[in-house]
Amino acid sequence: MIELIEGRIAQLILLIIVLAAIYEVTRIARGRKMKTRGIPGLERLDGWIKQAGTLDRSVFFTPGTGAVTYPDTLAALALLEYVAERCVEQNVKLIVGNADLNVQQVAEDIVKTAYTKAGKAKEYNPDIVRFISGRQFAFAAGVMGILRREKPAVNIFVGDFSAEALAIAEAGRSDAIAQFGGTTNVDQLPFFMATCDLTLIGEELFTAQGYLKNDPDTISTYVGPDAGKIIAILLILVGAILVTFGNQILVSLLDL
Amino acid sequence: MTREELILQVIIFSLGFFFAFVYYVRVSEPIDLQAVSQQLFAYLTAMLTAAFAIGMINLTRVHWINIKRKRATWKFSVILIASLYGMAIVSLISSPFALDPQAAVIPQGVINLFNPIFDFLYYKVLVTINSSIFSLLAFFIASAAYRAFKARSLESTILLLAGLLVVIGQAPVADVAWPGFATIRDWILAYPNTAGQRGILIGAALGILAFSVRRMIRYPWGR
Amino acid sequence: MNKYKVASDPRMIYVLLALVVTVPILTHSVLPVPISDTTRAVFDYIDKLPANSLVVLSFDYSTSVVPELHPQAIVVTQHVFLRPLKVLFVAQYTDGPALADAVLDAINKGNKTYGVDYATLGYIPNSATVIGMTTNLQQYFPVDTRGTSTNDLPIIREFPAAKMTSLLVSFSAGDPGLLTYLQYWETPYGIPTAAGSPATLAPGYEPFYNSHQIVGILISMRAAAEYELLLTAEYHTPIGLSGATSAMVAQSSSQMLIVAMVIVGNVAYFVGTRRTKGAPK
Repeated sequence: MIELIEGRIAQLILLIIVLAAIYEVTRIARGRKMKTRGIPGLERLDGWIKQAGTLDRSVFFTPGTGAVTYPDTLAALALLEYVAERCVEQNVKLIVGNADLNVQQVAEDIVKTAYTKAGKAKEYNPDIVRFISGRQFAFAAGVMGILRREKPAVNIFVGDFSAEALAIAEAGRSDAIAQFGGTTNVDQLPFFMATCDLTLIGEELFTAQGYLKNDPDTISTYVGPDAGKIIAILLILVGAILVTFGNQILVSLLDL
Repeated sequence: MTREELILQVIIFSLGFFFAFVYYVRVSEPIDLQAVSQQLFAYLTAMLTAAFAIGMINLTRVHWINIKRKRATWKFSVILIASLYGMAIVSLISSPFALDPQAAVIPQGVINLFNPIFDFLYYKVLVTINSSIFSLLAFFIASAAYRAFKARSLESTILLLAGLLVVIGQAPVADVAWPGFATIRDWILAYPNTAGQRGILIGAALGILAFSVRRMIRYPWGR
Repeated sequence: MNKYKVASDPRMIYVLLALVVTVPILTHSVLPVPISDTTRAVFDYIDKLPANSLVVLSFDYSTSVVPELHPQAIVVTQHVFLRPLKVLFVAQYTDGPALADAVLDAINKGNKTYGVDYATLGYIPNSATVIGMTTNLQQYFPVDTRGTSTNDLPIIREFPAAKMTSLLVSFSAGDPGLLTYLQYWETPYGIPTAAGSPATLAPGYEPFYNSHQIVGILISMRAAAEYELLLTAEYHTPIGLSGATSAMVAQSSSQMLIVAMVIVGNVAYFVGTRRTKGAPK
């Protein structure tokens, strides 16, 4: 027997509509040079990495404490690919700290590939990618220790973070020339904003890599979700007006 | 795309589509797809947990080399390995995750011997150390607030006022002085805070949706 | 020495904060604590549950958040044990089962019997278990944390599926936690849910409270102090059960110090800006 699950029918219909809208807008945007608002300050990342090389200091990167199945972590690993390639290119020492063992495996692979692509496979050192701890504050303590001992010039914390984010950011603030943070966790964003030179808020985390690579096809895929936002805004406006006048029809429809 | 990448991508797409499908559609005949998805999830958990063993081996190997070569931090490596395996053994004998809580194989006397050791290591050492590092956040929040809450512009002034009012409203002593602080705090949390949080959540959810679909179909193709 | 530089040195802030926290604790200062609506909502809901209702307490936090969530867990568990309710203890964090045991050691269990009135089922490894346990507890928890088959526990025979829960309280310090339960318990089955959260996560849970998806939120150690006062007023439990009430003066004074420092910081900023503007070019 096949049946739609109650309570999720409206969700499914909405999902199909949103996906269709995202696809259509992406298709229209593809191939065109889209004028996007950009992420202010993100273009400084290359300069910071270069400056780290000039000062003979390292770049520290952590993709957070989330599991490898979390979208934040995947987005952070995508950014690690970019950062690793730039560091290898500029001969800057990179240190990657991980809190999850599966993320550790993937991060090792990404950094090793960056070295291999640049023809510097023999220069890869396994100590670059370190597993610190799976426990939240043991990880924070480990990262704080690395930041105090190694004194990297650029600290990059993007991904899934909980309370340890502030501890890490404060520890890095004193010695780093730049701190770059990003997460979708709204509870930690205020701490990032207070301590980082550049913060990726919410979905900016998913667009960072494509934005840095400046690839029109990739950027066109980031325009798509804006269609979803327009649908959400319309639903909110219509729903708020209807509910204000005592009409629950939209609420009932969405409960299907 | 190489053949291996194509096979991997087909698996990624199939599993992603399958889990999305069973979330919305109940199929009970001829195969109970809900039960299949839960079983697959259990296998996934087992696979992810297997990486834990690889991690322990990796950690042991790295720190053993530190100790053997007497590197600068070798003494910390000794503490790490001792506490890693010590706590594991104690927990396997006496904890909510004990291998043999009913003393079928391990003698009850041994379990009784390890009980106070586990209690000490867990409640007096682990909880205390973790709470201490968490408590550092109080100091970091204080110094971050002192630095960040400056009325440099209109937006930062609004942020400053809202932040101060919420902090004051949270303090029990302020509630005693004037109940209005709690009302203001509740209003700020219920309206502007909720609106902002929902906005970021919706944007992030759409970003995750598009990101996940891109990963599933590997668009832009081949990259 | 530049006095502004000394005042703005982070170490000065740390010293002041350490003083305002330790002095009230060492002098055992006590403060009246007004009861917030979100705490009262949880208390009233538990107080009005019919006899023999099932309450599930989920310990979704790790040892680092013990100072904030453990006092909440103690007072709520004590309240549930003072009423004629059945209780199941679960956890989505690996630290949860041990913390649940610690809470059980800290409270007065009265005449409640393990296996009949309450049971500790242990760790929930993934969301498939969260989903599956709503329809079949015994399949997903074949044994409890003491190694007893759940088939032999009268409470599981009486409540074989978690969807029979009358109230779920998730002491949640992140993910997995409350949001998992909202997704798989509250939305499909309408299981009433309450949250215990650290102060930093409470703003994120407020939208769910405002939209009535959760019945109440216990916010940080303060909520534990408020709940303790409610318990004392209603059931004459001893003050100091969770240790939260004695920490309120320290919490208040540290929050007031932060407010004072922000004001001082802004005054110093404006004075500094004026001096720069007024300086001869």
